[in-house]
Amino acid sequence: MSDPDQRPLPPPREPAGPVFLHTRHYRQRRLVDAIRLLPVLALALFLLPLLWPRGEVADSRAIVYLFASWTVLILLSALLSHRLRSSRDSEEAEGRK
Amino acid sequence: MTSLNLLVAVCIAYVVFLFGVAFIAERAAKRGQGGWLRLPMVYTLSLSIYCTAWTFYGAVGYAARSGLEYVTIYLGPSIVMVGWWWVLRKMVRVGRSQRITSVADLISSRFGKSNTLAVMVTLLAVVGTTPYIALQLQSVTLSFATFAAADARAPLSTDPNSNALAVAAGLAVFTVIFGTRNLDANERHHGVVMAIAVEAVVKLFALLAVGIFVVWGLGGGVSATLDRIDASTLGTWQVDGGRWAALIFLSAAAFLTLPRMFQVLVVENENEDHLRTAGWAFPLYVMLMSLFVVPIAVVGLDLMPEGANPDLFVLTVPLSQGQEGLAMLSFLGGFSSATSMVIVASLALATMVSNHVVMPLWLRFSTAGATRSGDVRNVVILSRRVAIAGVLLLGYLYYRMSGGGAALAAIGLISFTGVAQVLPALLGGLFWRGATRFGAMSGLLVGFAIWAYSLFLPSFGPAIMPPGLLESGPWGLGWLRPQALFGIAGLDPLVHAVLWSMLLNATTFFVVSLVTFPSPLERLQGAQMVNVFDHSMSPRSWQGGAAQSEDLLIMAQRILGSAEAQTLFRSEAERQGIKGYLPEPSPEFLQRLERQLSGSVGAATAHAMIGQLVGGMSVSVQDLMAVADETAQMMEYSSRLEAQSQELSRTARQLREANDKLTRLSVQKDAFLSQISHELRTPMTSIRAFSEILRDMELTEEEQNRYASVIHDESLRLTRLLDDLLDLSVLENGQVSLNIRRGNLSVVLDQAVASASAGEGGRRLEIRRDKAQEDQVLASDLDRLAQVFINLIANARKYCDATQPRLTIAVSRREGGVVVDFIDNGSGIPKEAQDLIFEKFSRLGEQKAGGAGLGLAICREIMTRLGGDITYLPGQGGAAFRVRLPAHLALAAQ
Repeated sequence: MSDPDQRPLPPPREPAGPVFLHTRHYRQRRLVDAIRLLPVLALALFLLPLLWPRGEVADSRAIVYLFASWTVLILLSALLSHRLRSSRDSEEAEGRK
Repeated sequence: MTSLNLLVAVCIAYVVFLFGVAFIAERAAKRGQGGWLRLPMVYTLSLSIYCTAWTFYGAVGYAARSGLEYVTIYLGPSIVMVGWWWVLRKMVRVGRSQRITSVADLISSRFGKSNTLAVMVTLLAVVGTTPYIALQLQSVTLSFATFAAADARAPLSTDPNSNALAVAAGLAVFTVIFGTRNLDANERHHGVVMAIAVEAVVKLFALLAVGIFVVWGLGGGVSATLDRIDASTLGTWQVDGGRWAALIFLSAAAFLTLPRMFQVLVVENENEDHLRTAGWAFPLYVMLMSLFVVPIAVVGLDLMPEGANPDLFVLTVPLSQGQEGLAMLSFLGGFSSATSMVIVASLALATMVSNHVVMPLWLRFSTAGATRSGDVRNVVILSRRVAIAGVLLLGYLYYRMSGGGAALAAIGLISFTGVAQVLPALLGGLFWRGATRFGAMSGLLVGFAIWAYSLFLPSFGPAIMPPGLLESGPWGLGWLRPQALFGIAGLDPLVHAVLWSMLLNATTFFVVSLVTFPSPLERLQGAQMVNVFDHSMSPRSWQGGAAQSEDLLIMAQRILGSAEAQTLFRSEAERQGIKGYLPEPSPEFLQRLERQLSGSVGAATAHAMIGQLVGGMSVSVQDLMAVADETAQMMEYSSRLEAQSQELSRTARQLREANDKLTRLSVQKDAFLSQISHELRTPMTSIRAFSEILRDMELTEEEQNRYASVIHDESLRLTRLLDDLLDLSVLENGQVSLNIRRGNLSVVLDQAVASASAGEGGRRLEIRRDKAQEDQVLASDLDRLAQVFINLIANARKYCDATQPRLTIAVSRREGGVVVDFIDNGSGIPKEAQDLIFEKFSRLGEQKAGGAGLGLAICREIMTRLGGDITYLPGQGGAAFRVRLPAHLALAAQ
C-alpha cells in the first residue's frame, strides 16, 4: 500500500458551467434565487407577532396583519412561479439545485 | 327541521357521487384519456387532505379556546409550500427517480434499503395516525349526533358507536375498491385523487358559505365583525410566543412527514411542474380555509348558549339560525374532510404495512418462493386490503377506548409531534451525504421514546400515566418528570415535548451519523438522493404515448431483431384496435414486452431499459446491481464454457498423440512378430542344416567338430535371445527382486567398461571418463546398473559411425540425484525415431543385425525398477543417453 499522502491528486474539477451566462439565463437564476428567499420572508412575516406585547394588540389588527401578509406571500409566489414558467428554458435551471 | 333520514339520504347520495367520480377517473386514466386528471389544480386540491375534520370543525373550537393560535397549523405548511424549491422539489424528484411508495420507503431507500428502518417508520406512522383516524370518526359521529339532537322525530338513541363503525366500514370499502384495484408500480390512484379533489372543493365551499353567512348575514359586514371580535373574550393578542413558534415548526414538519401528505405530495405527483402551481395555490387554499374561523368562533360564542361545544359551531350556528340547507352543506364539508383524510391515510399506511411488514415476512416464510409474479401480486393486493381494514379498525378501537371526549385539537397536535420525529432523518437523508442508517435509527428511537414518554402516554390520563409520575418523576427522580425533563419546568407540555424530542432526535441522528460508517449501498443511495439533480433527467411529461412507443420499438428492434419486434408491436396495436406499429404503452403491453426482452437480455436489464424509456426515471442502484449481477453470471458462464472447450481441445490433442503412438506400436508389434520369427528361424535353419549334414554325410573329424561348434554357437545365440526375452518379461511384470548393495559408481563403471570391451573386435572405442566426478557412493542393485551401462557402451561401440569413435561418460550431481551421460560422437539418432528406441525390437534400420533390439527396452525397465530413468538426450553432437539415479539412492549412501 502506498502512503496516502503520495497518492496522485485528483484532477482539477471542471467548472460546472460557463462563468458568464446569457442575460435570459441570468435573469432566470435570479428568479430562482427570489423563489428560494420566499420562505425566509414568510418566516420573518409570521414570526413577527412574537414581538407583540400580549394583551395589548387588538385581535382585529392581528387578523388583518396575518391575512394581509399571507396574501402578499401568495401573490409573490404566484408571480414568481408564473415568470419562471414563462422564462423557463428547463434544461438550464434544472442543472442547479 | 331537517330530518335525520334526509341527512342520511343526502349523505349516501354524496358517497355514491364520490364513487362515481372515482370510477370515471379510473376509467379515463385507464384509457389514457383523462388529461384533466393531470391538471396542476387537481394536484393542489388533493393536497387539501391536510385540512381534515380537525380543521373543519376543530379550528373554530381551537379559536374559541385560544384565539389566533389556530392559524399556526396553516402557516407552517404555507411556508413549506412557498419554499417548494428547497425541499419539496427534491422530495418529488427523488420519489420519482427512486420509485418511492411511502415515507417509510424513502427513509429506508436512502439508508441502504434498510427494512428495519422502514418497519420503525411504519410503526411510528401507525401509532401517530391511529388517533387521528379516531378523531375523524369522532367528528362524523358528533356531527350526526348534532343533527339527531335537533331532529325531534329522530329515534331516541342513535348509537354513536354504531355510526362510527358504519362510517369506518364504508370508508374501508371505498379505499379497498379504489386504492387497491390495480397494483401500479408508481402507486398512483387516479380515482382516489380525483375524489379527494372534489371533496376539497366541497369543504372549501361549505366553510366559505358558513363564513360568508356569519360575516354578512349575522355579523353585519366586515368592519362590524372586526369590532365584534375586538369586543369579545378573544379581543386581544393572547398567543404564547413559545407555542406560536413551536406550532409553526411542528405543522411545517408534519406537512412533510405525515404519511397521507407524503402520499399526495410525492407518490401521487404526476409532474414535478405541478409544484409550481401548488406553491401559491395551496397557501391560498389554506388561507381561505382559515379566513372565517375567528368570526365563526366569535359569533358562535355570542349566539350559542353557555357550554355549547365550540368544535361544532360550524354546524350549530347555521342550525340555530334555521339555515338548514347551509347546515347540510356544512355537514357535507365536514364529512368530506373526514373521509378524504381517512381514505388517503389508510391507503398510505396500508402501502407501508404491506410493503415493509407483510411482504418481507411472507417472502421469508413462503417456502415455494416467489416464482410466479401473479402469486406475489395477489398477496400484495390481499395484504393491502387487510391492512386498510386493519388500520380503520385500529382507529375505530381507539375511538371506542378514548371515549371520544378530548378536545379535537389536542389529539391532532399529539399526532403531529409523533410523525414529525421522522423529519431529521428525512431532511438529513436528502441533504447530507454523511447521514447513516444507525444515525437515522437512533435518532428515530430517541425522538419516539421522548414523544411517547412526555406527550403521548400522558395524554391517556391517569389510567396509563399515574399522577404521581407526572408530579415527581419515576422513582422520585425529579429531572425525569415527563413534562419537565432535565428540570426545566413551566413550559407548555406540547412545546416541552416538541423541543426535547426534536432537539435530542436531531442531535442523536447527527452524532451517531458522524461516528458510524455507512454501507456501500447506503453511500450509493446517499449520493443518488443528495445529488439527485445531477443524476436524473429533467422532468418529462407522462404524456406523449406515441413518442414513447416509438422509442420502445427502436429499442426492441435492436434487441429482438426488427422482424420479430415489428410483429410484436403490430399484433399489440391490432389488439388495442390501433392501425400501424405503435400501440399505446399500456401496462399489459409493457409487461409483455419486458418478458420478451428479458428472454434476450435478462430480467433486470429489461426492466431497467423499459423503466428508463417509459418512466422517465433514472435507473436505481438496485437495478444496476441486478444488471451487474446478471452480466457477471453470463460472463462467468461464458468463461466456464471457454475453459471447457480449451480442456476439450487439450484432451483431443492428447488423444491424437496417444492414437499416433498406438498406431506406431501396432506397426511395431507386427514387426516384432516377424522379427522374432526371423530371429528364431535364422539360428534354427543353420542348426537344422548342419545337423542334417552331420547325420547324412560322411565327414572328417575336423569337419564334424566345425559343424558341431556352429550348431553350438547358434543354439547359444538362441538361448541368449530367449534369456533376453525372459529377462524383459520378468522386468516388465515387476517380478524381479533387487539386490541392493552399497558401492562406488566409479567401480561400477570400471566393471561395465571392462565387460563391454571383452571380446572386442577390430573396432576400437575411445572412452573418456572423469574419475573425480565418478566418485559417488550409491546404494542400488549394482549388477543391474552395470547391465545398463554395459548395454549403453556396447551400443556406442556397435552403432557409432564416426571414423574415430569416442564415448564420453560424464557424471554430475544435479537435482539431488546423480546423472550419468553417455555421449558418443556419431551421427546420433534421427528425431522421429527418438521416442521409439526404447521400445522392444526397435532397431535403427535393418543395416546391422547385431542384436534383437531388446537392449534399450531392458535398460529402461531396469531403471524404472531402480527408481530412476533413462532418456535420450538430443542436441549433444551424437547419440547421447542420460541415466538418472534418484536422489534417495545417492543420499542414502552418504
